Amino acid sequence: MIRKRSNSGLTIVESLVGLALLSIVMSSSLAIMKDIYLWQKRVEISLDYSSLRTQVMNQIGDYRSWPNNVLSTDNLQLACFKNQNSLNATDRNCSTLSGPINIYDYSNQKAYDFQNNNFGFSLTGDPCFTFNPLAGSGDPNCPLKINLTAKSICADTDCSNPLIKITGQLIYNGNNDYSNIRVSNMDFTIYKSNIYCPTQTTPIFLNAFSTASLVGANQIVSSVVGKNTSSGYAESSEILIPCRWVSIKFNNDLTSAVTGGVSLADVENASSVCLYDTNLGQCVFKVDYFYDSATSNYSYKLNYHPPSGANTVVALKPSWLNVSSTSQMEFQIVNNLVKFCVDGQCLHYFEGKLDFPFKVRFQPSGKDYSPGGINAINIIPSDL
Amino acid sequence: MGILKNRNGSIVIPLITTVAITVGLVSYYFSEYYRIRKSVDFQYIYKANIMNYMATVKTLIRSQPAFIKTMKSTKNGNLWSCLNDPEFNCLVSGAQPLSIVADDGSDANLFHDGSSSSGFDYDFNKCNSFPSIGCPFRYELSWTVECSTPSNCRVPGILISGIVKFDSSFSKKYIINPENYKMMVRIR
Repeated sequence: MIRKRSNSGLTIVESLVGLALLSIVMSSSLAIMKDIYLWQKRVEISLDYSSLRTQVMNQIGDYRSWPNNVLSTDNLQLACFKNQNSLNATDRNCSTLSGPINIYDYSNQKAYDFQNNNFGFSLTGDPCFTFNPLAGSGDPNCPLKINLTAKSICADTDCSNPLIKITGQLIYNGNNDYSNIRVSNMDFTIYKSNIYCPTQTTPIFLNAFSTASLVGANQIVSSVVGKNTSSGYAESSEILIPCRWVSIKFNNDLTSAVTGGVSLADVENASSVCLYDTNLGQCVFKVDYFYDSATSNYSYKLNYHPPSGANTVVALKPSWLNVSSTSQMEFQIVNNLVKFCVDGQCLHYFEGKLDFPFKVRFQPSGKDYSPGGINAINIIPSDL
Repeated sequence: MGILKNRNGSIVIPLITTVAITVGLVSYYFSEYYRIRKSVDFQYIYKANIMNYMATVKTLIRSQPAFIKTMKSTKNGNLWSCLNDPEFNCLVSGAQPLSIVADDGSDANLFHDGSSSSGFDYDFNKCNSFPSIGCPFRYELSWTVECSTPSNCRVPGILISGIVKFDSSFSKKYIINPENYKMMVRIR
């Protein structure tokens, strides 16, 4: 009997209730599946955007491509970097650098047209040119924009060859299905220094002395018996650009056997090498090299004479350091930073920035102080 | 409708249950899958931020004004004397905290003011309560000297080092190997 009753199946009411329940489950399942799909898409888009972000950051970080960015006619605001060899300080000044820039790759292809207001990226991170910034009117196929701007970071009043700050701000406007994609945490800031330095003319050597009273190759005649003038000088054959690496090595044959004795008060006693501002007409970074009769030792002092301000002695030879007539002195310039080194050991760092194209100027001591004159002076520029 | 007349009784309830369980499992699978993907995405962005942080430090050290300002910063103790005064016996022991100063005197978003509680949150924004859940990351910069002898440390070699530090809550959630983000720059 029981078996017979079970054969009767469901009533119409039971069937309807079952169907209703099934449809409720199915509709909620569909809603969940749709949510999963949108969530999946959002995660996929986020992944694509974070890859895009890394790609853009890597391209900006590629130092090899920056000459292309600077030399591009699109990026006029970067033009001041091309002028770092100009003798005119205004040309070298980058203080007004501020605004969007385009980014080129190493092969000089425009990688990102950031100056174009409609340049954007699709949901998969591909470039597109139909971005619309107006809220509610965004193009769903081109919904992402990166506002990329560059700004110079100047130190005090100096803004030659400055540090630049590149800011990337990601803006999403377009596809409402994915409108809650969070891109603000993908904003980035990149700092770049020494992005470009104009070509340095080479070779560089020391020109002949610019005085008629030249005695020997590197010496000058005495104006007073036993004491010699040191008004003569020789300069480097080329103007050097401060934004690259430059090594200026020299030594000078000095002697203590001077007729009439040696005194530090004798201006002829000092032989000097300096980084000379041709515009200003003065030695700005300078080393005086001399025989110190007080300590019976060779010695040196470093001077810094800024464009506005007095000449000051910024460093003296350390007491423990032995300097001989054959000691190798060196001005080392690295991206506007000036170091002074002795026999390969960099002992002093000038606080002032070398922000002008310069000549190396050698001014020897008087003949009696320097029988051999300058032994050697080598000026070697190279890329950083 | 034939199926509804099954002699074994109604299968509607088991069917609904099966569908519900299947949907539940699929939802759970996808939610877990994309939670992991999201976590990977987060780590991807965070790692890029750490690399960018390191690149910023190196860039600033190579910029003349930033280099001089950093070396002279009073927050960095005797660093300037150790670098620039050959008479100064630079007897400092161990790693000294380093604050980086940009050309314009700012910290260039590096946020190293010498305080051991300064760090970054999940969005790489600055925070002041490291180590904590809300301030889980810190990139610690320091300088050390290499002396010719233990008692003579005039004109020492100077190294700048950087290491990452995480709050334990961060380390449990994300896999970022600190060894990959060590930095060492010799300035002399």
